[in-house]
Amino acid sequence: MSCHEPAQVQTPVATLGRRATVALVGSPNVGKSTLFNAATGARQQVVNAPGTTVELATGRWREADVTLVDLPGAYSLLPRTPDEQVTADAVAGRGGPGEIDVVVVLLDTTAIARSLYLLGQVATADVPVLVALTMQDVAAARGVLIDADVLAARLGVPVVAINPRTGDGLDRLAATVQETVADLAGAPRVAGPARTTAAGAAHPGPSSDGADVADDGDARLADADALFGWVQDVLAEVQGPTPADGVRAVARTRSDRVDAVLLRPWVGVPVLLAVMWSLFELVTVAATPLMSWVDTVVNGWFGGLVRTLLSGLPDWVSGFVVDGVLAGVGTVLSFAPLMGLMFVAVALLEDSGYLARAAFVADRAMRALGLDGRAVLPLVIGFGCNLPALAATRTLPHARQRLLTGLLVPLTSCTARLTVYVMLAAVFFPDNAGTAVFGMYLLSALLVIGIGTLLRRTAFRDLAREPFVLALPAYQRPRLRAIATSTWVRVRSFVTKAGTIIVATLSVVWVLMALPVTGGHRLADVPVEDSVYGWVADGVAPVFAPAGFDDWHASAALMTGFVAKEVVVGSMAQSFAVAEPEDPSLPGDLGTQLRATFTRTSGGAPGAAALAFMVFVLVYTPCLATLSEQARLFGARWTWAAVASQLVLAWVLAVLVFQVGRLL
Amino acid sequence: MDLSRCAVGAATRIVDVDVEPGMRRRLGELGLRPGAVVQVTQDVRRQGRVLAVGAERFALDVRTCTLIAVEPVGAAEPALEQAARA
Repeated sequence: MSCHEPAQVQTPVATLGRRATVALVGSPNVGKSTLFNAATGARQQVVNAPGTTVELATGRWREADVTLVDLPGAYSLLPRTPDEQVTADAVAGRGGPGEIDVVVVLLDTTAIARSLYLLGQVATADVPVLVALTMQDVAAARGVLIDADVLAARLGVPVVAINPRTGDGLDRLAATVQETVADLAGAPRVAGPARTTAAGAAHPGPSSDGADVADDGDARLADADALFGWVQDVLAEVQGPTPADGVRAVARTRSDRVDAVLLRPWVGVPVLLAVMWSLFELVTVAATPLMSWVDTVVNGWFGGLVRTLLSGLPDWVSGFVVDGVLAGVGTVLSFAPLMGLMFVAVALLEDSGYLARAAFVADRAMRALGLDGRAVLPLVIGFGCNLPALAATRTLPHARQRLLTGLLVPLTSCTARLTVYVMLAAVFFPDNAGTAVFGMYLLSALLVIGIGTLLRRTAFRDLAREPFVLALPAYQRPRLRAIATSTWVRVRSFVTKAGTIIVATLSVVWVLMALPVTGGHRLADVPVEDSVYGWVADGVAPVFAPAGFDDWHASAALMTGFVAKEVVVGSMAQSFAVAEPEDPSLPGDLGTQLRATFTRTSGGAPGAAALAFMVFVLVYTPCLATLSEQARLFGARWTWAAVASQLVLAWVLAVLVFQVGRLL
Repeated sequence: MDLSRCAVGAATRIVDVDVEPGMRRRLGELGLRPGAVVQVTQDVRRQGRVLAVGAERFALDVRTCTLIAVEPVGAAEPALEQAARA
C-alpha cells in the first residue's frame, strides 16, 4: 500500500465539479513547505488566512491535478498559537482555505511519536488522510528505522516515503493523491484512534489572531493520554516493543557534535553576533549597489526613454508618468533585490538548522524584552533597513509574536535615518556630532525596550511567558533550488501587493507637487512652496511649534520622509534652493540655511530644535515601503494604528526634547 | 531531582512536570511527559539544556528544566558520557 503506481483514475475535476483541495499538515520543520514548493514550483500564492496575520500558501500541484494548501506548522490540533488555530480550523472545515477534500499528514521519522499523535488528531476529523513519511535519512543516522509498508498496514491508509529535499517519492505521492481524490467516498480512514475532544479539531477557540488559544481541562489531558496510548500501540508494532527499562540507546550524531561547540556561550554568542553582523552588512553594503543599479536602469535609462517617447504630449503627462508612476515602480523594483537577499539569507539560516540554535542562544536576552529568541533577527536587521527586517519576522512561529516584533521594527533606527542625523549633528553639534548620532541609536534601543514592555503589558498581555522548549532540527545542507523558488514567490508577492501601495502613493505625491496654489505657474512646473504640497506643509508646520521647528521647509522634508528617509536631506536642499550636499557631514549652504531657520523658529535654541527634529525623524513612520509591507503582513488596521501611534509618540518626544533642551 | 541537575548522557525518566495544565499538555505532546525517558545531550549552563527525546533534540531553558522532575534510569550512555567529560 505504500507505493501506488499511476492508475486509470477519473480526474478530480470531473468527480467534484471543481479541482480537489489537498492540505498539507505537519509539525514545524517536518519538510512541509519544502514539499509544497517542490510540488507547486512557482505556481503558488501567499495570502493571509481570512481575518488573521497567519500566512497560507496555496498553489497548483500539476502532477496530482489538485490545489495544494500549505497549512501552518502545528504540533497539535488543540492549538496554543494562532498559527495552530488556523490549521485546526482548516482541518475541521472552518474558515481558512475553504473545503478540504484530502489531508496529507507529514510524519517526521525522527519524531515519529508526536507525529503519530498529530495524525491521530487529524484522523478523528473524519477526512480522507494520506501519510507522507519524511526525514528517514536523518532518523536512520539516529538509529530510528520505520518501514513505510509496515506503517501503512498498521494505519490502514497509504503511506508514501518521501524526501522533499531531493524530490524522491513525490511522483508516488502525487499518484496516491490522485487515486484518493478520484474516489473520495471510498478513501480509507486511519484505523484506531477514538474520537476525542480533539476530534475534528473541535476546539472552538477565538479568532486566529486572538489572544488566548490555550484551553485546557482534565478532559483534554485525558484525551491526549488516550491518543498517546494509541501512538504507543502503533509504535510497538512498527518499531518493536520498548525495552523493559524504557531506554533506547541515543546515538550521538553529527549535529550533537556541532552543537557541543556551537551552543557553548563563549562560542555561540560570538557566532550569533557574526551572523547578525553579516546580515546587517547584507542589507546595507551588499544591497546598496544593486538597488542603485535598478534605480539607474528604471528611473534613469528607462525613464529617459519614456520621456522621449512622450515628448509630443503635454509636459505634465510625461512628468506624471516618469516622475510619478515610474518613480514609484523604480522604488518598488529597487527594493526587490534587497528583499530577495534577505529572504535568501533567512531561508539559508532556517534551512540549515542554525536559526533554532540562534533562538536558543539569544533567548535569555530577548526574554528580558518579553520576546521570543528568534526576534533578535528582525530587530538587528532593522538597524540596517526596516523593510527586510519585516521579512525576517516570518521566522517567528507565533502570529502574535510576529505582529509584536513587526510593530517594534520601525523603532529600530535604519541607515536611511543616519543621513539626517549626520547632517544635523554636523550643523548643530559640530564638536559632539558622534555623541549626538550615538544618542539616537541609544534612544532607538531604549524605545524598542520601552515600547515592547508597554505593548506586552497592554495590547499583548495574552503573550504569556511560556517555558522555552524548541525542537532543534538536524543540521542539513540548504537546498538552493527550493530557496530560490520560495524567494521568488515572496519577492513577487512584495512587488505586486506592497508595490501597488507604493506606486499609488508616489503618484499622489507627484500630483500634490504638480498642482499650483498660486497664480503664474503652470501644471507640473511650480516651485514646491507654491504647490499644494508646499501649501499642506505650510499648514502642518505650526503643529511643530512646540518642538521648535515651525517651518514649512522642515515639515515638507518630514512629509517627503514619509516616502523615504533617504530623501529628507535632498528635500530640504530643494526647498531651500541650495545644492544637496554630497557628504551630509559637510552640509555647506544647506547648513547655513538650516541654522538660520532653526534659530528663528526655536527662539534662540537651535540645538534643541535640531535634536527634537532628529528624534521626530527617528520615531515617526519609517518609510512608505515599510508601511506597505506592514499592511501586507499585518493588515490595514494594525498599520494605521501603528502610524498614528508613531506620529503621536514622535511629536510628544520631540516636544519633550525641545522644551527640556532649550532650558539647558 | 530535576532536569537541570542531570549529567550529560544520563538516561532519566520524567516523573512530574510542574507547569500550568495547557503547557503540561503541550510538553506531553512533544514527548516530555511522565514516564518518558530522556537524556541530556548538552549542558549549556545558565542558558539551558538540550534533551534527546527519542531521535529528537529539544532545547529547554533552565527554569523549565527545574520544573521537570526526573529519576535516574539505567547506566549512562557511553558516547554521551565521554562527550560530557570532554
